[in-house]
Amino acid sequence: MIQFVKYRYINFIFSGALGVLSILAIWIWGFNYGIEFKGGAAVEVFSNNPLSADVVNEVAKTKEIQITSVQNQGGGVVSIRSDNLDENKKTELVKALDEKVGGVKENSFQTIGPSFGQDASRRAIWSVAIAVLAIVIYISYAFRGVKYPFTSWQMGLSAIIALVHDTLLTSGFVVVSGHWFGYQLDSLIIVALLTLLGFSVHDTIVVFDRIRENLRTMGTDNLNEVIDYSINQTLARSIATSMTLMLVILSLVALGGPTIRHFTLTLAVGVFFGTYSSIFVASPLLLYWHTKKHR
Amino acid sequence: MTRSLWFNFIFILLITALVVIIDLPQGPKIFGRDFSIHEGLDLKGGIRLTYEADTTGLSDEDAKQAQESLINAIDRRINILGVTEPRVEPVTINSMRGISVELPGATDAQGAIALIGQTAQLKFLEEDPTTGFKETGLTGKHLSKATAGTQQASSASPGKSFGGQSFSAANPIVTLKLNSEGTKLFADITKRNLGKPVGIQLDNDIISAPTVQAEISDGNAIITGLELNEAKDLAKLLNAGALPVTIKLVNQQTIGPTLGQRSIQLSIVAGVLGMFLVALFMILNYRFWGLLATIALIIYTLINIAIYKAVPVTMTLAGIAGFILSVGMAVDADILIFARIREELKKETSLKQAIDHGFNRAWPSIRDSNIASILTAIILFYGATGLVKGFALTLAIGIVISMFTAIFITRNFLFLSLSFRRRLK
Repeated sequence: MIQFVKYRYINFIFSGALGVLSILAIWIWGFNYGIEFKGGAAVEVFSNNPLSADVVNEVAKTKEIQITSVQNQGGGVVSIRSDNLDENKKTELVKALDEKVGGVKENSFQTIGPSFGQDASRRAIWSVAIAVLAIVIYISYAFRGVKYPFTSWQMGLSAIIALVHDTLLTSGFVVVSGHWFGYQLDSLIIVALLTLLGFSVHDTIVVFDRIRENLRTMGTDNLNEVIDYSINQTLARSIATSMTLMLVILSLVALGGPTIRHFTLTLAVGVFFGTYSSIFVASPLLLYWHTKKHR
Repeated sequence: MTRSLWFNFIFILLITALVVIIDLPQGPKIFGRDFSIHEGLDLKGGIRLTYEADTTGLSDEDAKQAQESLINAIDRRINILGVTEPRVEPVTINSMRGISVELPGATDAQGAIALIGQTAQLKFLEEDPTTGFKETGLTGKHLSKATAGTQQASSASPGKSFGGQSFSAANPIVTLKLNSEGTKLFADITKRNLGKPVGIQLDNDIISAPTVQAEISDGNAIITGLELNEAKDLAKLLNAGALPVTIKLVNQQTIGPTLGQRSIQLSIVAGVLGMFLVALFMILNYRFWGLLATIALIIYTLINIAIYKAVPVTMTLAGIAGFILSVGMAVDADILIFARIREELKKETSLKQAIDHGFNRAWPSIRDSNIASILTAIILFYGATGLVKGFALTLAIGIVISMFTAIFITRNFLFLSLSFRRRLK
């Protein structure tokens, strides 16, 4: 039997380190906001030939278009953002780029007014906050039978802390990938984060359920052992489920094409952390509540 | 016991047959409804426009009314564009009312924006000594119908006048038929303004200012001086109705069809490969049960697709993500059940009892984790917009169906296979 509980401090340190790194990354580099949240205009082109930022800037200047960023998304897809690009100028720009480099085609074009972007971010944050609250309440209710050695509220809290941990680390990944690969934070990424939220909660509840049952049957004397045993029992299942989910997601990463790569990669990272946290974060945390009370 | 098992099995077969029929690419026509997958913009390509409506100064009740008339008016205009399956929906942006317009398959953003953006307020003006022209109170509200047509070629001055017999060779015209109140107003206006011009204003432009030749009491006004296609467009626009409030474009998105097509193809390939790997994993780990679970999973997928076609649920990339997550949870339910059954078997109970207990023991986990996920999905569905909404919907549908699949179908298969084994002994 793997002694998760005995080595939990190592886990906490490891998770903590990753967490701090993620916070640092978010602070220093910041999210690479897509225009959905920042406003502005973005045209995505597909180019057969290499299209560099310099060329884009050069061509744009001749058309009096102010470029805020040019990002190569891989696979020939280039995303160009500007503050003053409208429908007409966009058509001109794409044509000019095509003339200059050849084989340039427009994939998509989007302009967002600032109010719309603000609204989108506000809604996203609110829904997630309410969902998290609902999860805490539901877990507290569903596990209300558990009074000792930790209350159901503490179980709910542990689940949420594990959740925050997952989201933080995955967001760290999003920031790093934004910085290194130019992946943008758009609503699709938010969906990926929400997917991970749903999955993490699901996973954590299954582990908690096992712990609850074992507490009933094995008694509450040797708490460390009970939790360890529970985790070991569910370990196989946890890994099995994550594996199946990963198989599908990795297929998407490999074959899904460059335009959704940022999405599928984030999903993969999220599922990994989601599984990790249910085992290595949520359950040992339960022990912490107990020992804290009895100090 | 076996009797009810067989009943249930036949029920499952029937459902499978039904969803297979619905899922066929052609799609049948049941009750006159077309069954096909509705693709969202990110899969099909098209144009999405979001407008803010200027409802300042209107009471909440009026603003809501205005938003509804706005939707109707814009809906009618979009029909002029001839787009299939357009969607016009109310939205709220930063507590302002707005409209979201989706035109799948459309490519001319300029044209769409020009058409939708026109407020199309029609006003009749008369001469005013001080300001030039002033409003008469006769507006597009009094219009019952506008028809585009041509007037016969005839003599006299080519020109623009009311009530006189002034025709030109096949002039394109738009005939405005006014309602009863409008007819009365128009009769008064033409009476007061004999020999003087009366202006017809569309939004900020005076498109026609003919001179009144005689009092018109039949409620017909004619606009001349247009090209034929101009006349046709104007008639359609007027018939669609003016927008009750002004609108401002705050978001515009054009998605090329190639982007969508490639995404779909690649995703389908990836999805099939993924499912295949999952099936392999299940069969390797749980052998015969794994095979049964795989069959149940296939039925599960078919049921989901059938529901997407029937509701209909507009599929987007986010929707596919929700579905994938729900598949993961469905498989998880199966794994939970199988793991429990194995545990029970270690206790040296009969196989039948083990299966029974396995399901019973696994159910609380499945129920709790699924309810939490459904709660999250519902909150997301009502709180967020667009993509996230689609994700929440497919996730919720997937979870509900997975509970049915795991508890009913897989269980039935397992017990049935058990009774087969008994027979064989």
